[in-house]
Parts: sequence; structure tokens; C-alpha cells
Amino acid sequence: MRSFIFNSDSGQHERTVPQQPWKKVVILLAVLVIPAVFCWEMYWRGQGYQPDYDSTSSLWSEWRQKAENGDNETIVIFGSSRAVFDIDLHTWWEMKGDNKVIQCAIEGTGPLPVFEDFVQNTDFAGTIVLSVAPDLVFTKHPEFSGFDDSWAQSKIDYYHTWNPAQKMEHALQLAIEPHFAYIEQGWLDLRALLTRIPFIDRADRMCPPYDPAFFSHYTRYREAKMWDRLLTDTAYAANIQKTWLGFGALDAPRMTASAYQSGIQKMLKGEYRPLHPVIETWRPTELDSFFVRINDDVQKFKQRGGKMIFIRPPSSGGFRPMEAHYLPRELYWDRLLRETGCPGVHFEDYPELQGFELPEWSHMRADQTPAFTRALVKIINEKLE
Amino acid sequence: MLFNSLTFIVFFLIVLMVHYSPITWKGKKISLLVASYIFYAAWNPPFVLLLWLSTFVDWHAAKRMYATDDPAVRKRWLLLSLFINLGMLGFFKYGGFLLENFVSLVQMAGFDFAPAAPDIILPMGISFYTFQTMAYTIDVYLKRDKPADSFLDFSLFVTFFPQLVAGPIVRPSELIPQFQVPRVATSSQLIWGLGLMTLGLFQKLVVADTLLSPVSEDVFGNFAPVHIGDAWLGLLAFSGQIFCDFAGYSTTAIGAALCLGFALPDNFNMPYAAIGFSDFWRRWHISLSSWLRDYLYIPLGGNRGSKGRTYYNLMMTMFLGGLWHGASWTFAIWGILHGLYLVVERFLKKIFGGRVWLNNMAVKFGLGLLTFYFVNIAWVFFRAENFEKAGLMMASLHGFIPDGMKILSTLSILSVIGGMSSMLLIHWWMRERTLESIVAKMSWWQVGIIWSAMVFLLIINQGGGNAFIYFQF
Repeated sequence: MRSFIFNSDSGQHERTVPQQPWKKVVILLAVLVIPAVFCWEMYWRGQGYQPDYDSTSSLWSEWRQKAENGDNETIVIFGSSRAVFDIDLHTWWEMKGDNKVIQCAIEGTGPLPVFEDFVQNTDFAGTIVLSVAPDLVFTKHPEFSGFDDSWAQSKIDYYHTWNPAQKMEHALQLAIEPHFAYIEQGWLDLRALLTRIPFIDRADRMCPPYDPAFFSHYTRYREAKMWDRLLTDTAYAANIQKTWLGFGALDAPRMTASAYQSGIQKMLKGEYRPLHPVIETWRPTELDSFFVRINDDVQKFKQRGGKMIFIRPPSSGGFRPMEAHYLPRELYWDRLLRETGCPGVHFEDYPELQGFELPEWSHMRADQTPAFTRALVKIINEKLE
Repeated sequence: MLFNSLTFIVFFLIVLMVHYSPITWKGKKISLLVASYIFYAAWNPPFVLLLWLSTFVDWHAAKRMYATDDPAVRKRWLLLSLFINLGMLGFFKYGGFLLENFVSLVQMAGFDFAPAAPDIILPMGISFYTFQTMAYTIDVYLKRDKPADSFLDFSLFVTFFPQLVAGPIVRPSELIPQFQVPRVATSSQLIWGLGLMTLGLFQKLVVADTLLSPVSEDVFGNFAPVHIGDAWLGLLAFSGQIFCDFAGYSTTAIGAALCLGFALPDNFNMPYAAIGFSDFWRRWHISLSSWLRDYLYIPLGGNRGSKGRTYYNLMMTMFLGGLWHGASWTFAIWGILHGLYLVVERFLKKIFGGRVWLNNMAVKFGLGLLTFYFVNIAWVFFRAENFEKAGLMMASLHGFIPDGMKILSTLSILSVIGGMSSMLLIHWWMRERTLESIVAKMSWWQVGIIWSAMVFLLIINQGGGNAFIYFQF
């Protein structure tokens, strides 16, 4: 049996169709697939997952575009995951009296490329709040994803080439995602599920850094709300704490699992290893140019009438001492404010920004973010007056 | 627009509804043409102008050639068509590459010349539709075919969305006649078309993107050389990924066209069960290899000249075929390797051809494995970003890196071993069979269960957004 029958003389152009009672096949297909998907959805809801939005490049692009079109009353937030988790937009909107506060921070990467692109390629002259997670802002490592700004750059590139098909896809995803809990790219998709099958790896396998387990639901406005499970399942939260410490434990882009775990244990005891040579090399030579680069952008933004403020959201537990050890405040945060001449809000300087619960040491539990935001916005407003 | 997107599902449903609405055949063709332009413009609207340019020039060139017997005039119109199509391809696809090589040569000569890097975006599928439309003017020039009667039919031939951006590269005689008479899919054709689309998307999203792509990315993207076992698994993963990605696209395209009542030719036929390289190229990207044969290899002289000339023609065809895939010397080497394989095979056939023991099944299987080995070795150059990476990979593959890094997880190892052994078994089992003949022999509920499993895995896969590899060509 041939699949494609072509005869130019007789004008015959046909594809063979296998003989089957196709209508019965389609009915069976519907009878099997629809209940299977329903059960799949119910199963994940039963596991505590709720419908939400995925943190996609298109969702970021949508808000980046709105930020670009913002007027002088608009506030745009850049930064990394702490800004996305800790700031409750509805609280800020309520305090401000409008909804001109836009979340453009990106999880897992430094904000400098995004800020730089925004300043250089827009006329925006409102207010920029740049959230600083020291490890993502002040360390650069060409071999470590996230620490090399490639993730941020990929979002920028995506935005500048955001095409009609991707915009249409985004609109359709927004219509579907709020109705299905099982749609959780990177965590409940087939690849992610397969990856979590507990196979035993070769002992000498060199592993990449671990990704954190799922711990937030995403909103339409790009807020991440911490998953309730972290409040009750301390083992689950502890697992994510170790993931953060793991980034400090890395001394190569890949390590054996045992070396990685041993590094984490040392971090927990406060036994910090020397900085990776590449990061160490970056510090004296590239750090100066980093400050020159960010200062150039800040001054350019200020010259066209924009207002700029840096914030340093809280970290806690075993993570905070690690940050303090590798990235002491006086060498980094204080220098950032000094060189740019911008005001800054460091959580350690304000009692009202302290005492919030960070179940995995780096991000705030969802129900406390309105109170934190209220306190933070009050200080920001005072600083910018 | 990607096949593996919600946007395409909505787009295709609208296209089907319009196509099966009670409008005239001409109205249906116009709607398909508009849909095809939307399909292409959804990626980058200004590049539709290139499609229009190609369509306009080739339509007129063919008409003018057909209207005269003056060889000089005919040649001028052919050259114009080739100049426009190859010029577009040259500028958009090879502009940066040519400049880069020119700069290297100038710098080697001691001149300090460093122009700004050109910022040229490669229009999606340009290599496919330029080849398709060039075939039209060349066929008319060689008097193999006459021009299309209708500008609408010709425009649709250039632009038909199922195969516009990644093939199959269809010949004018295969597609234009299908637009001339009303065609409507039967319900069986429509359902089978949807089945083929499911199979194609399953190959792409589940097998290529979910099972194999992470492994090949890990291995080829690692910062240091890997262990010999990991290197082979990574290479096999890429071998499977590129097949499922590209064959997946072709199958989806064939299915989409069938839903609309049109028949597109096969583009793949169990290539990893090929015995020898000429057999491989009769099974891999069939529409390109036959295009290269008919429009490059034979015009160069084919095998009509001396042995040396035949070998030269083979090497030149495969070298250019390699460059067709990408503007990089690694692709050229991939093509040259395949050229070399074909030359050696031709040489060996002269010596051993006709021996009885060649028909022995075990010998055939051994030759098949040997073919698969060499095809995989060539894939190293196709996949590696540069020669340094390719060299390290070759060293890892052949045990020259004593302390290569073991990076693959047990899941990755099982994915490749399971995925590739299944793929090889299927290719060998189906070597002389067609998908249609196998499905015809199955009971209806078996077909239903297998189809349901594929649909369910596609739904929970949530995959999407990963472009097909061949889009970049």
C-alpha cells in the first residue's frame, strides 16, 4: 500500500486512507480522552494545586509594554523574585489611588539588563523601583545560568521580537490557564513530572544546580503568591531553603550530588567556602565597570525627569548570613546608593520592614505581603518626596 | 505560526470552517491564500513582501519564457527568477556568513578591517519556498511543465500554509493541478488527516522535545567534554530529536493538507533503517534530496561523465545541500561528509556490487548499523555550535577523553535507550511497510486507544512554543 499516489498523466493526487470505521474511532477517542483529562485535573486539584497563570515571557512582555507606555505617575518595579513575591500590587494601588504600579521584575536573574534596556529604549519618565537581591545583582558568573544575565537578556530579546502569533498565543493562554490547575509549565508538565521520578543516579554523576520545587501561584499582574503548603509542610520548605544555599555551595556549573549536599551542610553551619575563582576575578575588575554602567543609566533616567529608588527586600534564616558573608552590605548596597545618588530602602534599617515570615528564607508568605507593602510604600513615598 | 500552539488550533478550525462552507471553489482558494499569508505574517508581517516578490517575479518569468522560443529571452527570464530567489536567500541567509568569511580573509591578508556585524533576520522558511518556486521556473524553462493557468493557483502553490515554512518541498506538478479542480476531503480523509496531525505533534512535542531534546542539549551544551557513554547517548538523542522534529513537522503538514482535501507527498520513510547512504537519502528529507538530484546533481552532469566527474558532482551537491541547511562551515562539513559517504559507497558498489552474500539479512542489518553509525557521526557537525565543540564531541565519542564528565541522569539514559531502541525497531519493522498498511490491519479500538494515548500525552505535556528545528533553515 502506497501512502502517496501521484500520477501526472491521469491527474491523480491522492493519499491512501486506511480502511477503518473512523467515526467509531473518534467516539472512542472522545470517550477516553475527556474523562482522562478531567481526572488528571481533579487529581492535581486534590494535591493542592489551583488554577493560576504561568510566568511566561509573553506575560512579562505585556507588562513591559504597559510600562513603556506609562506616564509620569506610573511606577515600574524591576528586580528579581523577591519583588515579585513580597510586593502586593493591590495594596500599592489602593494606597496610590490608581493602578499605575507595574511589576516587571523577573525571577531568577539580575535586573540590570532589563533596567538598562528600559532606560535606553523608552522615554519613560515616571518612577522606577529597583529591587536588589545581592547575589543576583552583584555576582556575575558566565557559567552559571541566572548569574550571567542570560535569562534577563532572553526576556528582553523576546519582548523586542514579540510577534503577532506570540501575542495571540498569550491571549489564548490567558483565557485557558485560570480554569486548569494542571497547567503549570516547569512543574506539572510531562517532562517535569518525569524528572521527579526518584531514579537513583550514578554516584559520580555531575549534576547541574537544583531548581527550586514549586512554591508559588502566579497572578494576572505578575505577582507570585507563596503556596500555602510551605506554611504547613516544613520539610518541603526546608528543601527549598537548601536549594538557595545550594547556589552558594556551587563551585562549578556541575557537581556530584554528594559534594553538593556536603556543601549545603557546610553552608548551614556557616562554614563558607572561598568564592569561586571566576566570581572572585569578576569582583575587582568588573565591579567598577558594573557601577559605572548602572550609574550611567540612572543618571540618564534622572536627567529626563524620572525618579529612582532602590529597595532591598528581606531575607532570613541561613540565607541572610550567607549573603552577608559573600556580599557585605558596605561593599555593595551602600556603594550602590553612594555612586548613583539614589535613595534606598534596606529592610534592616526599618523595624517596620522586619519580622515578616519567609518560610524558605528568601520570599514572604502571601498573607503578610499587604502589610509589608503598606510599610514599604510609606517609606518609599517619604524618600521620594 | 507554530503547529504546536493554541493559536494554530484556532486558526486551523477557522480555516476548516471557511473551507467547508458553501462558497465557490475560487472563494475557497482565496480564503486558503489569505489564511496562508496570515499564517506567515503572524511571525513577522513585513516578510510577506518577500513571498509576494517571489510569487510575482516567478509568475511573470514563467509566462514570458513560455511565450517565446527565443533561447536568449528565455534564459534572461530564468536568470531573473534565479537572481531574485537566490538573491533573497543569499542576502537574508548567507549575508552575515559571507561578510564574516570575507573579513577573515582580509584580516589574514594583514588588513585591519572590522565592519559592524550585520543585523539580518532570517525570514522563516525562506530556503523552502525559494526552492519550491525556483523549481517552477526551471521546469518551465526546461519545458518539463507549462506555467500555471491561474495566478491564484500559482500564488497558493508558493504559499500553501501547511508546507510553507518547512516543507515538504512540493513540485509544481504535484500541487498546482490539485488547485485546478474542486477538492473536498471525505470524512475518512478528514479524520485520518487529524490522526496524522496528532502523530506529527506527538513526534515533535513528546518524543523530540520532552524525551530527547533535554539530553542532547545537556551533552552538546556542556561546558566540558563528557564521558564516552554520555557522548553517545547525547548524540543518539540528537539523532532521534532531529528526526522526530522534522518528520513530525512533515507528518503534521501532510495531515493538515489532507484535512483540506489536498495530498502532499511523503518526506520521510524510516531513514534509520537505511542500508547505505543512497538509501538513506531516499528516505530522509525526500523532497529536498530529490530536488537536489533534479535541479543540481543532474544539471551538473549527474553520473553521465567520468567517474571523477560523478564523484565531484556528488560532493558538490551534498556540499551545497549542507550549506542549504545553514550558513556555517559546520553544516558544509556535514554535507561534505555525506558527499564522501556517497562517493565511497558508489566506489564500493563497483567492487562488491551483485555479490550474493550482500542479500544475507545479517549482512544487510550490519550494513544498516554501519550506515546509522556514519549518519550519526555526521550529525555531530550538524548539531555542534562550532568546530571546537564538534572536535571535543568526536574525541569524547571515540574514547580520547579519559576523564570525561558523567552528566546524564538515569532518566535521561533510560529516555534515550528506550526512545532510540523503539525508534530503530520501528524503522526496521516498517522498512518495507507504510503507516497506512499497518493501521488498516489494526482493529478500530486499537487505533482509538493509541490515538487517545497520544492526545492525552500531548495535553499533559503542555509543551508548546518550541519552534521546529528546520524553521531556521
